[in-house]
Amino acid sequence: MCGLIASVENGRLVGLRADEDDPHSQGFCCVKGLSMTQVVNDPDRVTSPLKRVGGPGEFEPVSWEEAIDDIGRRLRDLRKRLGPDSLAVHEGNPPYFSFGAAMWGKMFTKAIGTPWFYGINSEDGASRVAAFKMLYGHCAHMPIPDLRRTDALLILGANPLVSKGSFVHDPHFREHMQEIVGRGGRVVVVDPRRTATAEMFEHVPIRAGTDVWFLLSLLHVIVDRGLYHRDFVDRWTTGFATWARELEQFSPQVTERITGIPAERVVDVAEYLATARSAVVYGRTGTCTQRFGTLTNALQDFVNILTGNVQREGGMVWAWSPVAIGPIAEAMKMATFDSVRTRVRGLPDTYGFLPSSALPEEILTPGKGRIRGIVMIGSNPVITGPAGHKLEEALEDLELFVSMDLYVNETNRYADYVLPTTTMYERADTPLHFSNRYVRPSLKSTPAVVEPRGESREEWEILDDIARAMGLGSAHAYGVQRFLARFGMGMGPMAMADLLIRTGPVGDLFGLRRKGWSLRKLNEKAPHGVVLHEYLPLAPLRKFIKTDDRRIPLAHPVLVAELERVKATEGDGGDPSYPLRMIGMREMTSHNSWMHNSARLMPAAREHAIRIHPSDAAPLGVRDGDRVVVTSAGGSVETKAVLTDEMNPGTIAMPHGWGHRGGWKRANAAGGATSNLLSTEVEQASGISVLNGIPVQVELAELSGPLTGSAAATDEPSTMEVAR
Amino acid sequence: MTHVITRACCNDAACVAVCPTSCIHPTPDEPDFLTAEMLYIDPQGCIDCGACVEVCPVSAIQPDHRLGPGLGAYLDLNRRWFQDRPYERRGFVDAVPEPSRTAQLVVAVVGTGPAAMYAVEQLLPRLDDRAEVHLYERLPVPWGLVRHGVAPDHQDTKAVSRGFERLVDDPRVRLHLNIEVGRDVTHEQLRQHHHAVVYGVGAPEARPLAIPGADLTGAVSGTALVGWYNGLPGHEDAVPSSAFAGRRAVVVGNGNVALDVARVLLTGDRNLGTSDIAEHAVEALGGSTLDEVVLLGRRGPEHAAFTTPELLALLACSDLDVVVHHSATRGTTSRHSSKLELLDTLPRDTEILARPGRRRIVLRFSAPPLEVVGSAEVEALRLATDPVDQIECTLLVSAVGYRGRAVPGLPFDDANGRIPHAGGRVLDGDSPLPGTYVVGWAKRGATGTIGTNKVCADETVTSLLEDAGAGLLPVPQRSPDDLTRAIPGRVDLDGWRRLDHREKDAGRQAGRPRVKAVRVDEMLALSRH
Repeated sequence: MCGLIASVENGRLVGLRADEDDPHSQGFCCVKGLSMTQVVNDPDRVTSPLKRVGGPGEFEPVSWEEAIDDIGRRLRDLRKRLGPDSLAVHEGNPPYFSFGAAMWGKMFTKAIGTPWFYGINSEDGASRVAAFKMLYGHCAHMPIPDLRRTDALLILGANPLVSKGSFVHDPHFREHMQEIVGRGGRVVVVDPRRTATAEMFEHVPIRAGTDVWFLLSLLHVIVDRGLYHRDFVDRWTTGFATWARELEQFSPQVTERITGIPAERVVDVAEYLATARSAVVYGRTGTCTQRFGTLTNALQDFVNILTGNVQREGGMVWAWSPVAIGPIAEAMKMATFDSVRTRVRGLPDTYGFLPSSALPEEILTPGKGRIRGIVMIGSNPVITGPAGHKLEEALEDLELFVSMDLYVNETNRYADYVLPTTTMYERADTPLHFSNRYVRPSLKSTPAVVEPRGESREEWEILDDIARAMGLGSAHAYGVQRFLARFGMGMGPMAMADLLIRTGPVGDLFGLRRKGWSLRKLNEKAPHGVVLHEYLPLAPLRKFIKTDDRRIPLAHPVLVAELERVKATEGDGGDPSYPLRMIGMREMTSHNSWMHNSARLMPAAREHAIRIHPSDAAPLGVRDGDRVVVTSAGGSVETKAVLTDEMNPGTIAMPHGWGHRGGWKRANAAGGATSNLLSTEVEQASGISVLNGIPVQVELAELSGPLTGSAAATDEPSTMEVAR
Repeated sequence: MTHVITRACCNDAACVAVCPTSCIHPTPDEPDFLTAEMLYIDPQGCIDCGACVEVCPVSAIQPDHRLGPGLGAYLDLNRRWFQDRPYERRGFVDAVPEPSRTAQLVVAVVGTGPAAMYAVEQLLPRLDDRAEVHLYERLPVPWGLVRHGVAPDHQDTKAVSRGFERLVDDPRVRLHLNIEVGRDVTHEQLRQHHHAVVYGVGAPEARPLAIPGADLTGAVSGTALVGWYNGLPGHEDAVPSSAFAGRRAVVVGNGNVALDVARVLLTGDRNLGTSDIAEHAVEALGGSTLDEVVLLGRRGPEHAAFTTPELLALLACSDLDVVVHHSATRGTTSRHSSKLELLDTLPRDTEILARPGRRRIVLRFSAPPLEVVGSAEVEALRLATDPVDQIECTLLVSAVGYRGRAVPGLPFDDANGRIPHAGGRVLDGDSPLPGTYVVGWAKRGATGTIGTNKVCADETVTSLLEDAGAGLLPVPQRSPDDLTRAIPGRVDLDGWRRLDHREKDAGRQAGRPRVKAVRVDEMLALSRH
């Protein structure tokens, strides 16, 4: 989280600039953070509670009182009539910029007593979380690459120069990578696209969706050549023999024809990782949202484990955290894996989130536990989840759909109520929920700089009000909290944050530790934030292996079963009638789907487009700027083609989160297509949607009616296939 | 590493708006902006985030290590701008949009070139859902000088129209092509059917070359020649075939249009895969024997009107020699200027002799034209040099600027070739003509780049909205539909889409970006079902 300085005139936010005095971000910031002025002041923003009065998107303003009363009454009725499991909560990306919203969504779910807590982790990191849980027995505290001390960094399916990092937070990610090279180390980027990160470092192009074979071959070399860390493997793992045997069949010569990576490059990378003083593999959404996402993530960890680079300087490490956010999430059962499964397809939760791809069938399939009411917090799964057109139909079937959001978007236009929420400039906040993911651990807290616009309120307050109107006391997870809240003794997020800081390793322990921190002291003594450690202190590894036998089970049955699935796959598993593979891509001026209404980020000339290699485009007669139709087994979308040699031939890239038709005019006018309509597959092991490596074909668009780039699903509604 | 802005820069400043380190300058509120040849990225400030690349309408920005051959000089050009120009990292400052209190506004915008389209771009967000904009264009094809002025081999610059395409997609915007004020409708009619009329009609006339013999066959204006090679209707025969039968053409003037003209005359029939030059021009240039174009500057090199990035781009053309006439001595000026330094490095015409099969451009300075020599056709141009010099040529192009054309029913400042205005409000004498506005070249004369019109449009639209807020706009009695319905030959957005698609399709067959229709009847045929 980068420190920014806000300029306020007449009570309105007019400017943002980088905070040079922030010891953590040191004057760094990106275009997305700075453009928040245009979200805060956006005329299209929802600023009063809206009640649906007609078709989708037809709303009228109502008072908070009327909205909360009606919502509370109808939710209470549903809960009573059909049971708590007739209700579901769904959380998107924006609430994660609020400590309160991040905490309260799950607590509200617990207060209602429903098992159905949905999120967008299934389009993001579900398989990453699942692999951590299988290997280490927990996922509340996820290890991060020790970027500042490593000598070798292998990046797969991540583009931190543009994304600025994910599951690991540091404003100076780029500098840390450059310093690796400066120390004489290497940064190798395996990606089907020559991303900005790949361009700056060593790029190894790979055929989309084949990372699992690349990693198997990498491990093959490490094991085959005896380059693994025997002592570490003996001391900390079980099941190595199984893998040593299985890996034999995945020599780089064998995998080369699937991945397109020459065997000698695999050997070079493997040898370097295994012999470097320290090394670490870091993968992100590119490797998560794949057909074999869970195994791919586990294999990344295998490289770290077999080379002994776990919880040591420069390896994969559990970051020191100033607040006990991991243990608390664990204790509150917020960070679970496979503790709940969806009713119809049996897809697991990851980090507590059920996969949004299951929503349509969970809403439409009769039976006990059918979802009849949804409370959605800052989310837009019609665009950001797969098969949004089916979700649209399902949403209209709900008895009550309540959304909290900054905008009327493509999903909540079907809501009965859209309730206005605040931005980070309209509330006091502190990003404690990320505090165990910093390369340079820090604390930072900011006051509200402007009043909430219109009638907007914080999510946690709204949830509390709804819970109270439902007769539940408050949106707290535990009965005792809700009981106390009935008497006005409930705890808000900033009080909770204060408690976490004061009881943490650098907290003031309520006066017992004189030099310790409290939220108040942080605000008064360190308004620009404080960096607590330049380099991560490392606790002993044993503290982080929480499996029953305190060993890392390399041969976890799910992973072995996934390997069998890989072995049974012909080629890369794609349907040969779809010759190309599609991946997603990050754009510097997109924040997922929700900042597309900013004039800065979305000028008229900015267009949605696939990136395609000239050698793939030529035989199709596709030229730069042409309109094209991209078709998968799931549907087809029309957009523009940009020809670029940054793509690996055989792979196209399409940015996600476009194709708007909500209450945001500029975003709507931007046109473009919803890439996730092309997704057809969900990985059973983690419930992750397969968004990368989608088999597609591309053809020139015919001239038919206005070419506005609207997304259209194919006539035949496709069925979501679950890969087993 | 850093990102670098190159030739195609249109000064549109979308990049400035998204730069998190405020390292792109000059910004629209800096004094240098209106006169800047292009915008520049400070290599010291750039963090390679790439946000500017995503929003650049003309793909002018690249990371330094991807600069193509001959483009390395742009890195230097970018870096040099920041010598002695410190700047503040201001972050982003955004005026809080004030809710406008006006009711529904129906606005006519006449013209579809950059000025008109930037006016539309300003109107839509500021009027929100109370906007209804009707675009009137005299031709059956839109985008004005983007289609008919920008050189056919500068396809990157022409890509600015992709943003315009998006604007006419907006449901609040209606496109009416093939409707001309004075021919199909009157200004008074537009006034009766809209709250306000904004004229973005450009400067379609050439400034005359007032010397004897300027009317001989083979003497043409740059305006006509540009229209000719760009397929502007009515210009197919603007250049006589005799003009291409000689060895040399002379261009009077040395602005960017003169550079375009020189380059196209010598290479227009080559590299057709990246050019949408009109077919008749390809044919004429294919048979041309011209192998030298002399560009004449009335004054010395310090007054050269072309911009540095354009000269750099010309120097990067591998199939052309660019030389400076030997009359220009090196190092004559001590003034700090990239352009002059660049000119100093160029060979003199006497140092590189014309070679058979090799074509060249000669930049000559301090050479005012005196008279055109010839009986019926151009034979030579005599120069007011001491002693008087004479250059033999068969084609004489006067590229000394554009001027506006009067719109029937509107005041016109004939001396300056502009529509008189105050802050974009059209003036009738000293008082504003109610509900009538002007933008772009028609307003300020033919100066500035594509992006300059953005600032210009901002001023005009602000005046318009002020007047609307003050209740000064007469309420229209009838709807625009009542007006347009009655006009035969009107082409709408779908018609343009069909025409565009068919032109591009023909281009696909021919290996060209597009094959342009050049006659109005041809355009109308392509626009039909």
